[in-house]
Amino acid sequence: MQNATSPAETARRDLWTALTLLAVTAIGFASLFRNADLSADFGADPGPGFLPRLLLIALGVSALWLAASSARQLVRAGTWPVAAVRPGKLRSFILPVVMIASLLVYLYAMPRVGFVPATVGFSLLWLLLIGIQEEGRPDLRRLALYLGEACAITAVIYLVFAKLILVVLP
Amino acid sequence: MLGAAFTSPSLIGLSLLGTFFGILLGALPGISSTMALAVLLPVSFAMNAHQAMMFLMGIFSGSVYGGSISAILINIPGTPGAIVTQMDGYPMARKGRAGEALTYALLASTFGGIFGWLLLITFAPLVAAAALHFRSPEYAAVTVFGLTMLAYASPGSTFKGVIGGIIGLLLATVGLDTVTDVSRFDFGVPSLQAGISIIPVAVGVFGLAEVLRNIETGAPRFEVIRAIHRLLPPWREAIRLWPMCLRGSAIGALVGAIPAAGSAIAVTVAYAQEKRIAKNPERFGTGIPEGIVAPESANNACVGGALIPMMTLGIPGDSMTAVLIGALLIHGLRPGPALFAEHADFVAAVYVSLLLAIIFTIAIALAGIRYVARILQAPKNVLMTGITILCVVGSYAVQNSLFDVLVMIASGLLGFIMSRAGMPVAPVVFGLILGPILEENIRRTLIVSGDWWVFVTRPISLTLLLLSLAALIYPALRERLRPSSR
Repeated sequence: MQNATSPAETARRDLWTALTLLAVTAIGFASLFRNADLSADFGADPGPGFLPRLLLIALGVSALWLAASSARQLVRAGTWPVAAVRPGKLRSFILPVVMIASLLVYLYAMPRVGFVPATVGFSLLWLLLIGIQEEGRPDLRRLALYLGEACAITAVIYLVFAKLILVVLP
Repeated sequence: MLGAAFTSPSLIGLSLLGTFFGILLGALPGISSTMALAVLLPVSFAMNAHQAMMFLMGIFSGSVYGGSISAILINIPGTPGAIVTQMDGYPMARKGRAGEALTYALLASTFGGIFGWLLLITFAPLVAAAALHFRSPEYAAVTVFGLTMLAYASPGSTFKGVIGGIIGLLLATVGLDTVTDVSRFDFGVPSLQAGISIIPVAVGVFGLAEVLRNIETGAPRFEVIRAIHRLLPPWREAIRLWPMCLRGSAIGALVGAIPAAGSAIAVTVAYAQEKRIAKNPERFGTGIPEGIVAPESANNACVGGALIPMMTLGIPGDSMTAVLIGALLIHGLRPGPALFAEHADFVAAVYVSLLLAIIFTIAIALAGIRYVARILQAPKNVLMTGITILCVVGSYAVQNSLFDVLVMIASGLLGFIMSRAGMPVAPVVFGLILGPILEENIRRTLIVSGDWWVFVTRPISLTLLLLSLAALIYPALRERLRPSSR
């Protein structure tokens, strides 16, 4: 599961993680400061802002610690400033990114075109893409097979959820 | 309930179905027990609480054993608890003894499962009775203990586990505060005022994130050992191994009872213990039955052990029980000592469902184990596509809300990014579950006593907080005291 192996790579990854966490902390604090209701007096109750503030402080401190320790490791390894991510590593993210994007499109399409067409389309796309990943090249002769599999997957899920569990699908 | 469970066709059928799916999904590489439970959880929404528990416990118990099948036949553990089984299971299979290896795993699983079950029915009522005396400070301290134990037990660094827990706790604060009705972190989005539901996050983090990891790596096909000849091992050989089953079961059940410890720790400790006391430790790893029965009995005893903190304190024993807590909440049941007092019939349902699942696991496995090898060759594209759509529909089915699907997608992305960043993801779900309990009890304590010192003046609370501190400090201390490797 872990792809990073060298200490420098781990440190580089940790530094990016720390910067992301600091950004999240900043956004969180901005949201809290803009929420005037959190500043009210709640008597003995520390109030609804107590735990979020405590957690954001903890997150910020942790992120700073992580940033400092990873920066120190990078300086020791002689790879400061942070080098760009290798192109090979970026290539491995393509399918996950496409998956997230296609899920958002699927989510948008479902209430507009209906569950069945949207699901058949989504299934067909991913049967094809993962099939290409496994085989190394597209095989259009399998398109009919993939279409059949997409319809079968959709049918099974529709029957279980819409007919058996009685979920009202979009 | 006991009588009804054993005579009701629907309850027996659901238990059988759940166990079957659990074994099947647990056996498939790339699908963990937690993922199987998270993805199939929405199927239980239309059932009542007892039916849901029959179905889900079947999946839980079945998938724990199912992981050993792929560990033995293809050298890839189907579940984290099977990571040690492959060390002797696969070499034994390669020697032409695949059937015996699978049966050793099955018998050890059954032994461990029953041991864990006995521990559950014996100690859960006692712990629940003691927990009835807990007040707000103790509950707050228990949640802190549970979160720190999870961070300590998570793979990788404790520090990153703590960060994961903080993220989960922050997610739990999104939405309307239950005490004052003040909205937090809604960013002007009305749907966020209702808070973030546990099920979509669990499905995303444990389900979709796994799919993303699978499609990222594009792992090559694996070779399955199909030849399963003799199933039953020599009986004298099997009987000789019962002390190992007992030791493994004891370790598994005790580790499982520690909040957040999980089966991976249990099986590793059980295997290491057997190897340490063996006359010929060098034989471990060459394909000996001892290397299978110790971890498998620990793995399945962990199930009963993990249910103890879940049911008595509402603290997940591992990531699977975290998903089960989500199921209980969906059915309007809150785990904790009150569950034993107010819903004793449901508690009985849990006991019966676990026992039935253990019985059905052995029955299904003995009947169908030869055919499982074929299922292990299921096309990856069909599997991943089907699971993704299950994640979408399952998240939608919680509240018939497309927003929940969006939460699931975001959680899946979060889980994927966290795993690439070397951060364990289970603490996020734990934080989401325990966050409301922690906040509610801290604030109630301060409203009643008006004083922070109450957390350290009450003995149980103080003990739990000190243990939490020790769990946080120990890894850093051990690292500093370790001699330099250079």
